[in-house]
Amino acid sequence: MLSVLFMLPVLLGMSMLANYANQPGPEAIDVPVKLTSGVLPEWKAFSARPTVVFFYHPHCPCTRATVRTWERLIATSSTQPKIFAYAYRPADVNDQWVESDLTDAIRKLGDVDVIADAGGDACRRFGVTTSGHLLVYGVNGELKFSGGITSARGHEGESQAGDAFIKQINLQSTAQTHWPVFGCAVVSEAEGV
Amino acid sequence: MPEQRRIAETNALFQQRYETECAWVHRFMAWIMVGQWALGLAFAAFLSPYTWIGERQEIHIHVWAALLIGTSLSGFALYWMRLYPKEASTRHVVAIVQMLWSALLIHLSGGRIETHFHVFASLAILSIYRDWKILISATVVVAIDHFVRGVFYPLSVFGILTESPYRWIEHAAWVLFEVAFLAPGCYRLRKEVYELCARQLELQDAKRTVDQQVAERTRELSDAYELLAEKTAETEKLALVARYTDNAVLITDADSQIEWVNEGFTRITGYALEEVIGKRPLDFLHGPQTDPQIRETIRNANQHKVGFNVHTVNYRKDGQPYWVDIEVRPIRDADGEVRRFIGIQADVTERVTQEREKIRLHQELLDVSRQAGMAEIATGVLHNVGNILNSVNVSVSVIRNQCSKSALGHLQKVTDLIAEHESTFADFVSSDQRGKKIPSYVQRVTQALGDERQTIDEELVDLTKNIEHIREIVTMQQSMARTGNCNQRLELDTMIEDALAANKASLMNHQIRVIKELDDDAAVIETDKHRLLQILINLIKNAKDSMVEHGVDSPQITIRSRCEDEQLVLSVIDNGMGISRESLQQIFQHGYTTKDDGHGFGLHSSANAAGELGGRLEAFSDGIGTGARFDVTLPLNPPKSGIETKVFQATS
Repeated sequence: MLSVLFMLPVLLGMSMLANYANQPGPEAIDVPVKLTSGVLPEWKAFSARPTVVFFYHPHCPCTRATVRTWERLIATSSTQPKIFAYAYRPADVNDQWVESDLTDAIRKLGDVDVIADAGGDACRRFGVTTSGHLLVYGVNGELKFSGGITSARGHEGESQAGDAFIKQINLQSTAQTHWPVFGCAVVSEAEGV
Repeated sequence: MPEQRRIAETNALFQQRYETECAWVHRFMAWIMVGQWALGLAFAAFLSPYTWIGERQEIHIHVWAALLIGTSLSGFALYWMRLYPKEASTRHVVAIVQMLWSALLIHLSGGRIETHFHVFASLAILSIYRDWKILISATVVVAIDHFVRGVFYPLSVFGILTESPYRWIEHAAWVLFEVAFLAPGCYRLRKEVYELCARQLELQDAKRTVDQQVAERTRELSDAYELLAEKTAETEKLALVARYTDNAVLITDADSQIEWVNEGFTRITGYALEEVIGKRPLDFLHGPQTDPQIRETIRNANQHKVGFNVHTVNYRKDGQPYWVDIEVRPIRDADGEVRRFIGIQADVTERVTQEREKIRLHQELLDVSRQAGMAEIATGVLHNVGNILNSVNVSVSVIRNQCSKSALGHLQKVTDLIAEHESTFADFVSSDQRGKKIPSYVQRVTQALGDERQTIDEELVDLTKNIEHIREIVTMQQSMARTGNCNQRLELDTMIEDALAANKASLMNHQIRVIKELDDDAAVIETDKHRLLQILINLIKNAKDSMVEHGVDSPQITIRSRCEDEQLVLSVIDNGMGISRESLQQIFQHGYTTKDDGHGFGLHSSANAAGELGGRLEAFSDGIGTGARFDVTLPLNPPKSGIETKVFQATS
C-alpha cells in the first residue's frame, strides 16, 4: 500500500512527463516549397550550399536540445549552409529580448544571421508555430527538409530526423522530408498562423 | 556440532556485519537521494525553468516533475530505509528508486548523454550493497522503462517513430553488460566478507585460545617468577651461607673433582680455589693420621655416588693435621643422575681437643669423687660404728668391772682353804670356826656369781645387738652406692626402744628422762629399719650431748609421733642448749658442727638417709637455751619400687 502510495504519483508523473515530451507541436501549414527573395528577402541563391531557415523562441528550453543536436550534426556536414535564424520577439519589446544563451549558441553554428522576428511575423509567413522548426532549402531554393531534429521535446540525441536533416545539408536526398517539431509554441494556435 | 556451530556463528557475524554495512550504505544512499532531489530541481530550474507560448511563460513541467516525482522517489526510499533498515526489500527499493531517478534525471536534462551515465554510476553505487540481486532489480526497471517508453513513446527513447519494438533489449543489454561485471564482484565481495567473518571468528577463537594460553602461561610465569624469586633469595642466602660460613664448602663433579670451594675452605686448609680445582680431596687432604678405614669409606661412597658422614683427620697445606667432620651429599639432576657432590667440612679440632680434655677431667673427677665417696662412706661407717662403740665400750666396761669385782676370787679363797684342810676337811668344817662358815660362804659366792652371770649375760645381749648393728651399718654403708630396697614393716615403739638402748648407758649416766608420746595410728611403719635407726640414734645422741653440754638440771628427751597427710612425723625434742638462727641454716651441711669434738657428719648423713627414705629431716629451735626439735617426716606408704634418692633440703 505504501509502495503504491509512493509509486503512483511517480508513475503518473513519469507518464505525464513522457507524454509531454513526446507531444510535438502543431504541424506547419503552407510552408513555402520554393525559397525566393520574396519569401526571404535576405536570401540569395548559392551555387553550392543550402539555406537553413530556423525558427526558435530565444527562451525555449526545448530548443536548446535542438541546438545541441545540431552542434553534433555539424561534425558530419560536408557543406556550410547559410542559416537564417528567426528569433521570436514579442512586438512590444526591443531586440534585446532575443539575446539569450540559446541565441549565442545559434550564432556559433556557422554562417548565421539572427533575425528578430517581431510578433512572430516570419513564423506566420512560413507557417511554422513551434520553436525549433528547421527548413532546409536546396541550392535551387527548393524545400528539402521541414520539421525538428529532436526525438522528443527538449530531448537531445540521435534521431532519424537529425540524420535526414544533415543529409539534406550535405545535399543528399532523403525519403522523408517532413518531421515533427518538439518545442515551445512560438505562436499559439489561438493566435493563428 | 562444532562445525555447525561455527557456521551458525559465521552466519550471525556476517549478518551482523552486513547489516552494519547496509546501515552505512543506507546513510550514504539517503544523502544520494537528497542530493538527487536537489540536483533534479537544479536541473529543472536551470535548464528548463519555464515553458513558453509566444511571449507567455509558464513554470516548466520539468520543475514540477522534479519537485513532485523527485520528492516521491527520494521520500519513498528514505521512508523505506528508515522503516526497514535490515530488510532485503529495502535494498531493492533503493535500487528501483535509483533507476527511476536515472530516468527522471535523463528526462530533466533533456536526454543529455552525460546523464545516461547516471544509470551506470547508480549501478556502481548500488553495488556497494554487495547484493547482486538488487542489480537485477535495477536492470529490470531499466528494461521496463525502455520497454514501456519504447512501445508507447519510442521517440522519447530511441528518437525515431519507426524504431524496432525490441530496441529496448539493446539498452537493457548494456545495463546487463555492466551488471555482468558488477554482480560477480558483489558476490565475490560478499563471499570475501563472509570469509573474513569466518577468519575473524577463527582469529577470535585463536585469540581466545591464545589469550587463555597467554593467561595460563602468564600465571605460570608469574608463579615461576615468584618461585624463582624465592629460589633466588634462598639461593642468595645459601650462597651467603656457603661463602661466609666458617665451614669449608666444596662442590665437586660426579667424579669428585673439585669445581668450587668457598673462603672457609681456604681459611681451614690454606688452599686457594685455583689450587684445588680439578683435584680430588682424597689426594691432598689426607695424611698419615687419617684413618684408612675412613679413606676406604669415602672412596666407596664416591664410587657408588652416595653421600656419607665421616669424622677424620685432614691435613692443612702446611702439613698440620686437624680434625674434621665431613658431610657429603650427592646432587641429582631431573633424571636422578648424580651430577655433583656438595661437601661441608667443619674443623672440629678444638672440639675434639676439648672433648678429650673433658674426658680426662671427667675421669679425674670420677677418681676424686670415688675417693671422696669412699672417705664419706668410711666417715659414716666410722661415725655410726663409733656411736655404737660407745655402747659397746660401756658394755665391755660393765663386764670388765663385773669381772674385776667378781666373786670368783672369793671362791678361789674358799678353794684354797679347802685344799689346805683337805685331809681334815670334815673336822675343819665341823669344828673349826672358819670351816663352819664355808658352806654359807660358798652359797653366797654362788649367789654372787649367779648375779654376775646375769649381769654379764644382759650386757652380752646388748653387746651382741650393738655388734650386730655395727655389722648392719657396715653392710648398709657398703650398699649405699647401690639402689636397694630394704623396706620392712616395723613397730615404731620397738624402733624407738632400740635407738634408746643404743644410748642407754649415756642416758642412764646423765639421768636423762625419756618421754614417748606415740600416735597409735602410726604404730607400724614400713621403711628401712637401719636407716631410720641410724637417724634416731643420731638425734637421741645429739639431744643427750646438747643437754649434757648445756648442763641442764632436769634433762629430758621427748619422742613424739603423729600422722599428717599420709606422712609420719617423728619428733625428737630436747631441752638442751638449742640452736642459733645462723646455725639452723647450716646445721645439715657436711662438716658443720657446733660441738667441740664433733665432725659435722651425723646430721648430714641423717638428713641424707631421711631423703633416701622418701622423707626429710628438719630442725627447729627458738635459739640458744631454748632446746631444739628435730622432725623426721616419712611417707606412711613408701613406693614399692625402691628408695628414691632425692635432693635433700633443710628447713628451719
